[in-house]
Amino acid sequence: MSELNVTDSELDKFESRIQKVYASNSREVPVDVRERIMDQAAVVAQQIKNRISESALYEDEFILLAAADENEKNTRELISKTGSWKLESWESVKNPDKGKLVLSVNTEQLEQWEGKNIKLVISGKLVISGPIIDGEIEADVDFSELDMSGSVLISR
Amino acid sequence: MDDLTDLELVSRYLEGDVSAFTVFYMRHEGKLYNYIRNKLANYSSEVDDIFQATWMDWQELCLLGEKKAQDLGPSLLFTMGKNKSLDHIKKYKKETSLDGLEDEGESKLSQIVDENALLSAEGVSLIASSYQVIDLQIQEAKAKVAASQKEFDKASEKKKLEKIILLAEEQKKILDYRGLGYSRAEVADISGLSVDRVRYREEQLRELMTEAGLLL
Repeated sequence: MSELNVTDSELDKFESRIQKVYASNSREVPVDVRERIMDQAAVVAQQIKNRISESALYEDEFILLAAADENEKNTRELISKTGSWKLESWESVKNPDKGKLVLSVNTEQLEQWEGKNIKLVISGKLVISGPIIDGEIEADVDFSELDMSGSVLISR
Repeated sequence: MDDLTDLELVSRYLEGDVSAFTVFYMRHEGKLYNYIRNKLANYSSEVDDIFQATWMDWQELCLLGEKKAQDLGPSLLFTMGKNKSLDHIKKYKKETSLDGLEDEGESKLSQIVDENALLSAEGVSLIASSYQVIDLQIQEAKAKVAASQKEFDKASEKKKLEKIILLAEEQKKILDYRGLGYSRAEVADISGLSVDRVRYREEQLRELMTEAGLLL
């Protein structure tokens, strides 16, 4: 891209002028319109939840623990009621907030799920998405972005 | 939740989190509304309906789990808002056309000129004039295609014209988004361009408008 030699100050003035023009022509969204959109959003959100719940393979609650072990390394542990699935979080020495989260299938169900694509959602945030290989799926996770407790949802 | 990006908010909404939608909505509500108002300046009574329909359609995509709703965020919203506005204008024109005939092969240029006319009618003269100045680049390029005698020259000018049509689209988007109050970084996100490119387009816009005497 070639230079036009427009200074930051000149560009700021230009932007300010344009924004004033647009602002002079702007209006607020009527309250009733906003309410209808919000109502619809709530209905859609519920429908989405229902759809996800119907396809859920596993739902659980979890608690995220942070602790220092005897070697004074920071560790993270995701305590969850595990049935068909086991959730493990690994320590990361360099940065305790960054670690690896492993989701492993119990051996009895291994064949059923091998190669299948799944999604792991924790507190509404998609943490893992992909196929199960050798009974496991793992992802690098920033634990600081996870709530200390919340819900776990695994779905196809 | 206010510090989440648009894509993170949409991602949460796609998991059924309505509070994420609320934040996303409030972030873009006014800008999208006024963007549609500008497009529908001659049809102000329809703005509320088109605005609402845009959100409803967008939510419908979310419900269907459409991947692009997550990928594109506000960019998709603005595209949907613009398309809905133009569809409405076309439909209205068809319904009110005296002879009932519509030029199905309406060129992109004449469509753009229609938008300009609507803005002029609303009295937003600077925006309308800016659009016209931007479109002048297309008209000039078209004239060069028409004036080309040799096939090779004509093909070359046609290629330039295609590039200028894209350039003009980018310039208009950036004019609109910056005018509506989005930061340069946000415009880059929404329009899928780099921040440097957005800035360069802004510089071009400033030059075009200054040369045309619009910034005096």
